[in-house]
Amino acid sequence: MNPYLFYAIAAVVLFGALGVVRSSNIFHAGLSLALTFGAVAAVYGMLDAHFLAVVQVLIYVGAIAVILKFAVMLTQHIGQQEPHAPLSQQFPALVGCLAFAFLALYAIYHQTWALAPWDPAHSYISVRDLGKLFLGQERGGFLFPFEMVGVLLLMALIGAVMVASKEES
Amino acid sequence: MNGFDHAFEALFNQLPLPDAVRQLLTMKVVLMLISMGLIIGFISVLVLFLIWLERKISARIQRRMGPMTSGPSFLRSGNMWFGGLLQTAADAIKLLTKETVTPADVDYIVFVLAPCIVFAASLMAYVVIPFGPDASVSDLNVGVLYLLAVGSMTVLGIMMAGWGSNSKYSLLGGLRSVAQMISYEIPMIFAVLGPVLMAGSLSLQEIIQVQERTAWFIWPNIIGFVVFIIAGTAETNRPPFDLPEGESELVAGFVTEYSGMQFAMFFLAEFSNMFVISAVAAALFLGGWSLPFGITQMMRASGMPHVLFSALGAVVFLTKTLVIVLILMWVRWTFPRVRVDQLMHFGWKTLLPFSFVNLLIAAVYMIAYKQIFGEAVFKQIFGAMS
Amino acid sequence: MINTEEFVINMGPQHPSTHGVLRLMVKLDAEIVVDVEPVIGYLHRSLEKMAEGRHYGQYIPVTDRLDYVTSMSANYVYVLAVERLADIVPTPRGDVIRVIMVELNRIASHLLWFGTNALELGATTPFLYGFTEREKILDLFESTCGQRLTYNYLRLGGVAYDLPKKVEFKWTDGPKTFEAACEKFLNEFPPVLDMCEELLTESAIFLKRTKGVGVLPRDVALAHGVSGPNIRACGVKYDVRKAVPYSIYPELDFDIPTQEGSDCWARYKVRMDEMRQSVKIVQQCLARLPKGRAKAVLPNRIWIPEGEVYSRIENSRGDMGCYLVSNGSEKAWRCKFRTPSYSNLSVLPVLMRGALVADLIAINASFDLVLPEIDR
Repeated sequence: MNPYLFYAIAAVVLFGALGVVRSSNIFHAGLSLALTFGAVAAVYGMLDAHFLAVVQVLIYVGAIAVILKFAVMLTQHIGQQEPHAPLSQQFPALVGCLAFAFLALYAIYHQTWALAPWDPAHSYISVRDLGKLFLGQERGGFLFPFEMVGVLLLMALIGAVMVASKEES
Repeated sequence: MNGFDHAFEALFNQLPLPDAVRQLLTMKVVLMLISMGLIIGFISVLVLFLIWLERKISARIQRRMGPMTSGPSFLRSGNMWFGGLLQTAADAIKLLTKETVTPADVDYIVFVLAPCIVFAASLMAYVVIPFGPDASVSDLNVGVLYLLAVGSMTVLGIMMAGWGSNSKYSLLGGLRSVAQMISYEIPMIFAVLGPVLMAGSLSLQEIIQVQERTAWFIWPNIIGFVVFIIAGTAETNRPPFDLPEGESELVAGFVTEYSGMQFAMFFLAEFSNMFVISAVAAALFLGGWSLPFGITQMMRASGMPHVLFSALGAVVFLTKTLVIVLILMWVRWTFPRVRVDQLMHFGWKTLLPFSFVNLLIAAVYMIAYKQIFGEAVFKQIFGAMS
Repeated sequence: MINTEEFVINMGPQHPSTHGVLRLMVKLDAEIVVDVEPVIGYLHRSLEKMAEGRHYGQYIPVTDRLDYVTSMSANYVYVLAVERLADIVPTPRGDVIRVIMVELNRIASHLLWFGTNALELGATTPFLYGFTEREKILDLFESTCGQRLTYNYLRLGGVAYDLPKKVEFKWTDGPKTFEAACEKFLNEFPPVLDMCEELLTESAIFLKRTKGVGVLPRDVALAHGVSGPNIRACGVKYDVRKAVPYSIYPELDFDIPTQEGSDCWARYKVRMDEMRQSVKIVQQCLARLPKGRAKAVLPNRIWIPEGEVYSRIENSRGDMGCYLVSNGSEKAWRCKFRTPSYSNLSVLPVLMRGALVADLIAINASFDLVLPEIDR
């Protein structure tokens, strides 16, 4: 894993994330979010998780377009810039964010993470193995969570359809 | 041995070159750049050819003649079928020299980025297209999924074009296009799942290799093939699903405000996408670069040089792709446009159930195959699928 | 909950699908049309006022521009009015030639409508098939009067020139008389029409775009004075050629095709069937073409005593009328045209409320509006 490449991609991720929170135009914020997710997909690719990278682009970046579409449809005056928060609110917010960041970084660095050893030769997990994991019923298999997530998505879909149809009638 | 970069590496290792040059040329980055250059060159010529083909086909369907005069002189007006070959090149040069008019109130960054993203997405799809055995730019193990991901980038680009143009027509066109594309992504994914299930892999080369050993995947997946073609037409905004660019309704939809080279980007991307859809259909359903009845296996065993084998495979693949491209063009000039809400009804209520049925049929076919022909034959043909 | 705002889209006056310079201010709520306001007048040329400055014979070329797609009919309604007012009887041969020309023009106009209707819906091929056939009719017209669109062919008492003895075009297979060339065209046309129909009439996408779209209730249509194929598609069997017969129409045998659907598809089918009926009419006329002069011998300028007359004919679009008032001079005192497209347009906003934007185009195309008629 080339550290310089990683730093470059991480810079893009941060740039995108900053764009999301600092942008006053919803559309620009959505586009920055797309950029962030794309860069995160690049990180996944660097970690040899190809399937995850592609799925990240497919689902997140693809969904961003939908979010942007909704933003356009639901916002009356999307072209206008929303006013920035007043300075009296920005300073405490900055202090709070920095405090939280310091706390989080401290916790992360002073934790002993039980990591599996990184073996570049065998780091690649094929899609076939992933599939077997998804449907594995034995210990370490993900069949139950997989099915539960499917049921959850189905419930969400049905709920969305019901909410939408109720509004029309 | 997969991919153009490996082929070029082998080539450079065989040529008598001074050591320093060889060191430079076999660097991974340089190999990648060379294969990218090859593909981009191919795409440029391809798109020019496809646009000329479209104009000729449409003309012949409409009892006209199409482009006749620009081209090599021995093919000019006397020849109704091949005249005007260089017409698109002339049009491209004309578009290049046109002034790019940017309306005043647009969101400049978004407006300019949109055609770039759309065109880039369509270029990115060519990475996984299997032109021949061991002849793809980079045969990703998640090839099929990669293509779909690239498709969703196109959706984003179109949304940007629609919004960035700051015009009601463009916005309406962009919204319609996004709705259409995301609706038809799902039947497309399910249609593609049939061949993926049968091959047990997301890699396009592997899917073709399985088809080489057994029959083309179109037979159990005929419904899926039809669904894929229809969904692919909708994904690339081609008629009869071209309402977002509906000329008679919203002038030109989301490309209304674009002129000159930016418009050319969208236009070229549409043709490029059409080729990608046809190529993927040929690869997934029609066996890609392999010929049926074991001809390819015979060719492989005959010991001909690998380059020749690859080239023949590429010819077969391009022929199949061309057939599907012709079908798409034929459909375009025959049918009127489908209305937006009818399009959505059709996508969700008709196409999606059919794609489910196709998946079911493919699964049943696999199980039946295993039962009938036994486990050993099954493993030999379909690979390590348990 | 989701409150999308209404916005006004302006279609035209320059728009690929409003036929001519029609401006439609469409108020949209997302995809549904809330209201439509047509704005006309972009093509107003004071044609009616011009009648007061030209003597009766001089005005005929101006009537061409009244409806340039069917200018034979436009000529006809005016010439009929003047003849009735001045008690002029056209020669038998001239009378029959007029009917031939008017019916051929009806076919040409419907072919143009067919092409543009399909084009609006996105099918580009029928446009070219229709126009290939239309070219043949225009060739016939060109051989007769030298013009392809604005013919200036009808005259008081007959037609300007007799039918040419020798007509030769690429499609006539050698020189033929006009009658023979016309017969050849009429024999070859119905199969081509069947081919054009095959492309659209039963096509699933076309049916979905036109069936049940733009349903015009019969009473609304009658209240607004809709005429022509539009009203015949509502099941009202009304055709001026049968209701208030003129010229030799009482002696000819033809049907009035009607449909019951009142939707875009019904309007389409009525026009396709009308083309077939027109073929029948022209064939009968060619069979009974009398010999003689093509035009009655009349002075160049005529003075008509005081009087008024209202003449009606069946235009391709409907009931076209000319109200002519004379005051004893060689020029008309007032000439007013009742044009079918004007009344047809008035019912359009009623039709379009509640339709989708894509249907707007389909409905507009199926109505066969021609702007010069509306604006005069």
